[in-house]
Amino acid sequence: MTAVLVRLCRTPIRDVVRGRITGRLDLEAMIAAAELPDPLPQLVRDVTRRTRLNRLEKVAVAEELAGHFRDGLNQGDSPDGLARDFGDPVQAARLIGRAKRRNRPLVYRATVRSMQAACGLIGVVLLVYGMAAIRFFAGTPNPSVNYLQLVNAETLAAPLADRAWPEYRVAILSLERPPERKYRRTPRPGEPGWEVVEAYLVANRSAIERIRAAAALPVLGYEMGVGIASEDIELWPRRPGMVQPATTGPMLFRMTMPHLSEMRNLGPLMVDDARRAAFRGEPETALANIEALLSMAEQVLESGFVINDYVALSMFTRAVMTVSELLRDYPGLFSNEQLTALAHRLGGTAGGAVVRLSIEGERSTFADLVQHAYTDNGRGDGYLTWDGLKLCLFGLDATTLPDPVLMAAGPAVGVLGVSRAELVDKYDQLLAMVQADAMLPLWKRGKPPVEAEIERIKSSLTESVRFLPIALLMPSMSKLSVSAELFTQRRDATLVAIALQLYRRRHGEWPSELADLVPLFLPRVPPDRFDGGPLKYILRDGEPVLYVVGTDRDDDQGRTPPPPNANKASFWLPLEEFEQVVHGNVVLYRGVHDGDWVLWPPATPWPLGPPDKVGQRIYMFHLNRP
Amino acid sequence: MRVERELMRGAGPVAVLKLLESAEMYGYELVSALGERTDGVLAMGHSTLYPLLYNLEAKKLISSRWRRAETNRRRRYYALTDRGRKRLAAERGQWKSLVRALTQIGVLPETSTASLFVESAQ
Repeated sequence: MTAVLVRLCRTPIRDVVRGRITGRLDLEAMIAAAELPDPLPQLVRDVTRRTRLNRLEKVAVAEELAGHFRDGLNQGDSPDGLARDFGDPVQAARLIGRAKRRNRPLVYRATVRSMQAACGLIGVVLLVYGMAAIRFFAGTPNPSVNYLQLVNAETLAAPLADRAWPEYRVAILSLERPPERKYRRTPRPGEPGWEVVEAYLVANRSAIERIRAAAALPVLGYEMGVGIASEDIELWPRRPGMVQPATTGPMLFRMTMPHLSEMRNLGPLMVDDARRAAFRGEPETALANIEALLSMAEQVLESGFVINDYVALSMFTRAVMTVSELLRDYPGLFSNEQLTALAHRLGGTAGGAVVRLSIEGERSTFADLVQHAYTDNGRGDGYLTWDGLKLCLFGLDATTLPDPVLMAAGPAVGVLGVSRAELVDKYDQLLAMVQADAMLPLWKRGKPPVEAEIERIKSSLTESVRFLPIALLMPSMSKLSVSAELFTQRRDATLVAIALQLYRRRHGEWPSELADLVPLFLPRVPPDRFDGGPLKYILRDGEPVLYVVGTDRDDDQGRTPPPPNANKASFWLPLEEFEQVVHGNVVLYRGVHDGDWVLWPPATPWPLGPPDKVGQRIYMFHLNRP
Repeated sequence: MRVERELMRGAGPVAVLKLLESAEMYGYELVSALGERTDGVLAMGHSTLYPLLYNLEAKKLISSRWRRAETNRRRRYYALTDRGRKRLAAERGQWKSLVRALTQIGVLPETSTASLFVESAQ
């Protein structure tokens, strides 16, 4: 059996395929069969071994040499004479090997050459990849800036007496648990269930006054960090405590801001108290609550992150809608002076006519991430490291085990990815695109170019790898500027509504057109931000209607879309998408409804009904605590 | 007298092609014929013959095949191909030119040149 196996091993594959175990690759057997006297067998063996040919070729050479010597012996030559006449076996082997290789078929030679070239190429690639791997795994980020400290610098510089957050904290902790929810929305004065709301407001009078006092302070003063400060643990007992020292890892990336939802949730409380004051004929208290709401929103804006902007915008919007509501429900509540002061206050909301984006916080967050993900050559450049790749892919989960596939692919990401300086340049370009788009009024905007660029990066594997942190972590900031524009539209309409009220008080009737309000009651007629024309104004049944053309960009004479979509005309659509819509008779196209966005009079509230999922979410305010 | 190695490098292949012109031959037969028929002038080491044969075969000037010898052993025989025949004719012309040139400058005597021309005419 063993002999058969050995013979099989010494049989060319072509013979095996033909079903023959020839064993003709057995060089020793072939030499032995020639029955050559010494030193000829060893000479044959030496020469064939040194030729470095394949086994089949070696056997052919050996057989021919053995035959040669056998012929010589048959002719009477001596073994030593034949060996001597043969010449230098080393030289012979070299020449025979070279000549035999030339005899190989072209396909065989081409295959061998190709394999040699492929092996060479693979070798070079492996060498380069190995060097890249060493560079990638050995690279160490060298973070040098404590961005968290910079973000908190202004807060920490403010005197304790100027900081509002400690007061908010006390007020929130002192608030009683809200009453049980019975309705879909908060009852308003005169509606069933209002007495429960009013009782709650009375019971929490001191907390509400403390909130108004806190809103009057210059700064919010919330120190941000990873986790919760010891003073706030009572407020959020389930959240982890502050990480100390706060100098490791990309801190802004890990930062939590639970105070934002607390601030936002205080809004409805101030609105309900403003309604109660208006119902009771107490304009000063109503104004104080509106002022508090506006100031709280401005305090939230301090930190300069996009999330702050979103929360502040929702609070500004709530304040403006409350003004509209009180103006409609209690037209005689405020004096001319109070209305004028309120208009000036609203006009200066967020320090100007239009809320702008806060991008510096985002820039700092990204810079913080980059300094923990990339090396630093001291000139602002570097390359992605292993820790940086894990940071981008797994965020902050430091316990994630290294994936072997990721480890193998990591150096490729390091090689293909752009340098630190190129990445930061690209991020700055994208932010500049966001800013440029935000500067355009809504009616001039198309699909945000930055969104298209980010989409391009994300949809391309190469670009995703090149700009990995951007592809994975770049937040969408374009929607914020749209929200800001929509807020500005609502705010402008409220200013016009105030001006209309003042005009009517002076003239005893509504103006025939908005231009009549300028300049005594209004510096200028604000624009319709959907079509670029002036805000639309008509008198219907003797009462003013303020509106903008809304999503369909079609003037429907101040008529809202038919129910149940009456309040869905404020959805903004990029110009190029809008142009695909049939003007004038739009029923539904990606959320586009035929009708205008009516800003005055404000929409009537939903009917009271049993609480549902939505109602539970919006009912009064809720706390994040048990 | 044996010729210098460099000269042998040019003459050896032509000599082998010439020997194979009339009949197929095996290695030992070739090396013996070279020595005997040239009075040892073109005798080559046995180790030189086989690389030379393999090179000529790679150039398709000769072909080879295994045949059973009278002793029932396998033996490899070499034969001239059509391409080899053409190459031999070309080589012969070149060698004649070389001999003529060497004669004209007196390296070779006139008689040898004349005998070449006679052979050529035949």
